[in-house]
Amino acid sequence: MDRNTTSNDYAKRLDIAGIDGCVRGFSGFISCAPRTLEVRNEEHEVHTACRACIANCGVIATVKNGRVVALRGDPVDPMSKGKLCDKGLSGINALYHPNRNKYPLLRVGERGSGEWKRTTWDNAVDIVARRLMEIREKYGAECVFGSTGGGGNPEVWSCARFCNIFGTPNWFEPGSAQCYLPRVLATTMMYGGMDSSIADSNCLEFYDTESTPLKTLVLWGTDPSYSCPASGGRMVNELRMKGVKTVAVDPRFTPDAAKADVWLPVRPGSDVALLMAWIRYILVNKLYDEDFVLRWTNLPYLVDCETRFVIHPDGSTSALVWDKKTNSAKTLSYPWDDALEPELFGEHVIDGKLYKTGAQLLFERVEEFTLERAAELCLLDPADIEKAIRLYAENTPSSLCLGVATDQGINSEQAAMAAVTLDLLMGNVEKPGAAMQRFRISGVLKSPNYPVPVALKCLPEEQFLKRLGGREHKGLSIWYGGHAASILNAILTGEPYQPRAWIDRSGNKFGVLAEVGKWEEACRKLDFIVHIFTYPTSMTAYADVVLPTEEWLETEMVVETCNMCVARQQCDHVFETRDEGVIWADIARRCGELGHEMCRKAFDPGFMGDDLAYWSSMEEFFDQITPAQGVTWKEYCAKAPFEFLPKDEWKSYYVYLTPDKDGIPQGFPTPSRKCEVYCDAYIKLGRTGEPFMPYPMPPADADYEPLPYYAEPTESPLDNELVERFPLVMTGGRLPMYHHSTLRNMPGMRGTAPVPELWICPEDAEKYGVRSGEWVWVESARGRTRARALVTKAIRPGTVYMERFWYPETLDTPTHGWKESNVNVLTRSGPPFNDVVGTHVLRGFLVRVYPAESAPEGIYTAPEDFSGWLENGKGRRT
Amino acid sequence: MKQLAFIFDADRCIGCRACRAACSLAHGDPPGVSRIKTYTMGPVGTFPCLSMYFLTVVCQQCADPACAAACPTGACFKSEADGVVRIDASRCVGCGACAGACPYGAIDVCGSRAFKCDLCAGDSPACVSVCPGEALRVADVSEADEHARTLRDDGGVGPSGRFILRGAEWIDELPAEFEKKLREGRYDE
Repeated sequence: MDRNTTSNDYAKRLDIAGIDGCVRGFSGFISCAPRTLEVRNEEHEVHTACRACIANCGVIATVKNGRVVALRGDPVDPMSKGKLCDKGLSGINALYHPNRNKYPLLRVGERGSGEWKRTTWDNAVDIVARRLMEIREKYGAECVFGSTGGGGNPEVWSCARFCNIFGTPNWFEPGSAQCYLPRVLATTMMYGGMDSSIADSNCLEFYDTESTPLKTLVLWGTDPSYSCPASGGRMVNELRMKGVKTVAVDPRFTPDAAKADVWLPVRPGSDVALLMAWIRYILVNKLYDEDFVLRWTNLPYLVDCETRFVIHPDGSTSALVWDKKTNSAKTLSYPWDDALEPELFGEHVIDGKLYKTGAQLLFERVEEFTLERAAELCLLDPADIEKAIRLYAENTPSSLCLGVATDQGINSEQAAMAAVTLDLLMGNVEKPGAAMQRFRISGVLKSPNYPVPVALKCLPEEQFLKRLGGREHKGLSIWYGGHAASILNAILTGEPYQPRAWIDRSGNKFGVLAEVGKWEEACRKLDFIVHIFTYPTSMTAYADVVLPTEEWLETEMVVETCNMCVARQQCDHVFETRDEGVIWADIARRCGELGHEMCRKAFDPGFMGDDLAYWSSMEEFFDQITPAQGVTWKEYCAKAPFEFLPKDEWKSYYVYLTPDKDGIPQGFPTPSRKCEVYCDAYIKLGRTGEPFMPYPMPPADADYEPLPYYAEPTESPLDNELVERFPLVMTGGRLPMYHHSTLRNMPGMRGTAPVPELWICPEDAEKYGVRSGEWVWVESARGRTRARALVTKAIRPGTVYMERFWYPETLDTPTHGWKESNVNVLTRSGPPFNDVVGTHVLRGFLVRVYPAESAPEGIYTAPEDFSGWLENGKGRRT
Repeated sequence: MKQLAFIFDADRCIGCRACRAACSLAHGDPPGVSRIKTYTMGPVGTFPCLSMYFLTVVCQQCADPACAAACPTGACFKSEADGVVRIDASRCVGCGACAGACPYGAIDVCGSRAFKCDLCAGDSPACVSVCPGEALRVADVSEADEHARTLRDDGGVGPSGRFILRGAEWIDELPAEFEKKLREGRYDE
């Protein structure tokens, strides 16, 4: 293909118009000339790592004459082992997509009119910094809020860092409380090591498929075949092939459900009732690991029933237990006392006060959840539930991997707590075959998963205390973040103050935020909106400034994959795109020049210390990171991928048994050094923000519960009145070709899945007059949208499923691509929220479905429709 | 006689369609063309006792290929040496007769040419190396498990591709036809 050919397109006009030339339409900054490349007659391979989703699968990119021409999996990658998926393979198309954001753009017409002016980076950064500074001066820095996301943004903390330095406590990520954070929080509070999320690249123990002794794997609300085919999907498949039994808990009959030994098609939103039944069954039938539970959890500890706190007579690691030998309360010093025989279940009155053991309180909490009760609530067969529990509890070692499903309803934190409880009861901790581990790390990642330090110390206390939703939902502070629904509410009501500016680095917030119609209303109330992304999305339509970022084949990042250090390396670079790590730094620098003292100090290495001074280039940043492995960034790249430890040394089992400096087992990183199944730390978190908040916050309205509880979904099919209007329960879930709101502009993906499907079972389809392949309206109390029906038994009766979607092809229309077929028009952003982390409802709400007269206007469905999204019309029919 | 073909292990396929993406990328095919297709065989049964598996179908390298018989220009032919059915692009006029004749939907026509699996011209096929489930391999059919099946053969073309399935009950229908019928609610169990 002749790369120097310039077709009749926008970029050519841009080149003529140059800086300050004006264009019209979102498809305006779109079509473009292929970049003119210097011709280098050479071909080389780059070992890099994919970032089309949140996995980091190893990739070998072939670069020919400066252009990426081929991608293949890197066989040395310990998680993907040379495999890739549809998403990763789209990388070249994504990089050279004609519809990239290529230059900084300023809006010149009305918002949404799509009239833009190209500008320089210096000018764009200056404009952004000036507007943010004006708002800060006039209304306070808290009136600026940030957001991130966009398909597993590898620099999620970059936004948090900028906000802390700028002085606003308000940034959010639409995932967090709705994705992964509840599980991270529960695992951190109750155990202190890594969580069991396969899709978040954990469960590293299982990637050594040959040697792990795992016998039963429970996939609860997760389907690795769809969410991460090349890494987790591949791994689970290998385990299955070698005889590992699996249980799938999912209202959808996914590939992993189809291959499972037991499938439990749970009613969406009722998961905690089922988890409680598992806990009850394991307690009643004494299937738990008694030795581990007694010695290494706090379940034998006595709890003061009035204060609800565990009694620690001499500091946090000692505890009061009921000694069966002497029939009296005794102090158990950490870690154990052979002279004592602590009772597990029991209650006692001591000096007129009632005490119960943690295990007793746990049992009382789950007591009503018999198999029959759970079957009734979750719409399952009690015999199937029992079969699943028996597999998990008897065919051991086993592990329970909890996916995103339970993060998307108001019972989110409690689901995570109940799941962690199960693995702790079974002693599935730090032993071979367990998901929860603390394997050794390379030291290059100082913050969780991403290396950019959040610089929390830069946010003054009085600003921190203004965090919207922060007081009520203190669990969010484990990721230093704010509460999206509270920010939305503040914009719409002006209470407790009026946010004014939004700076967003992500894909399409209009594809992923709940009840997104309200966000359109919110945008009208904002003075200034910046969108930072790789290509235009619905979000761009509401922006005043657009800043172009790099695709993953252009970016650089340190990546740690099991026992290997990997480098995402720049393989090519197009137009004027910039790494967001540099964009945030540039805006901070300009704010400093305009008089923002903290933004100035953020460039001072002495002041920033471990939080690192801001940088001018990513190399400058990484050069402060890779010395943990004794190399510069350039040396690291040359060496990567490399093992930072041999596999056997890296896999550190039984970390809790290794002696500390006093020669006693070090235990777990919790206050009591035991696994805290009765987790009174939640009460403390709700009252003060400890241990995550840098400054104490006033208590939440009600105490957080130290044990899981079941909450029926707010919109419940058990509510007879509501069900008359909206009789079906909506759920969500992944498809293998999309990640969050990304990749809807990829011809390959859209060829396979051009529009979102509404899955409905044959009985419900008949009842509501729905025919397979025809368009339907899907309506909730918040709005309606369209999808194409798929009548299938793969969704449980009474439930429907729809994937998130938006149409890049209708950005130039009044819908801006997000209104036609978007399940997030229907989701709930309002209260009630999960108490601890503030989750709103993305799954498990009520809808009705009825035939639509037609498909949405202007959408692409035929393969040839997509040919304009290939570079230079490559592959266009001749 | 040597007969190369795909041996597909349905128990290993997780339905991710990476094979299709890798194939399109390796060949630089236009949108809508796919030389490899994954069909969802199910779910069938009575909820919640359901069964579902995936079948990934490429050219079946038939003993008596209908495509070659239908080809008016002689572009489509079966090679003696390895039993592989090939299309000589220089002689192909894109009339679509081969695609119409193939019972397995393994040939797509776009513009003035027909596209089908060429086993990546002898290199390790892109679909095989990318497959997360390691469900695909190319071998002489004599190497296939004796219990491996072939696709339904109403026209007596003698498909060579082999399919391994232990985890579900085999549905003896042409995959594309089955999938369509099931989606449209016309499949009678």
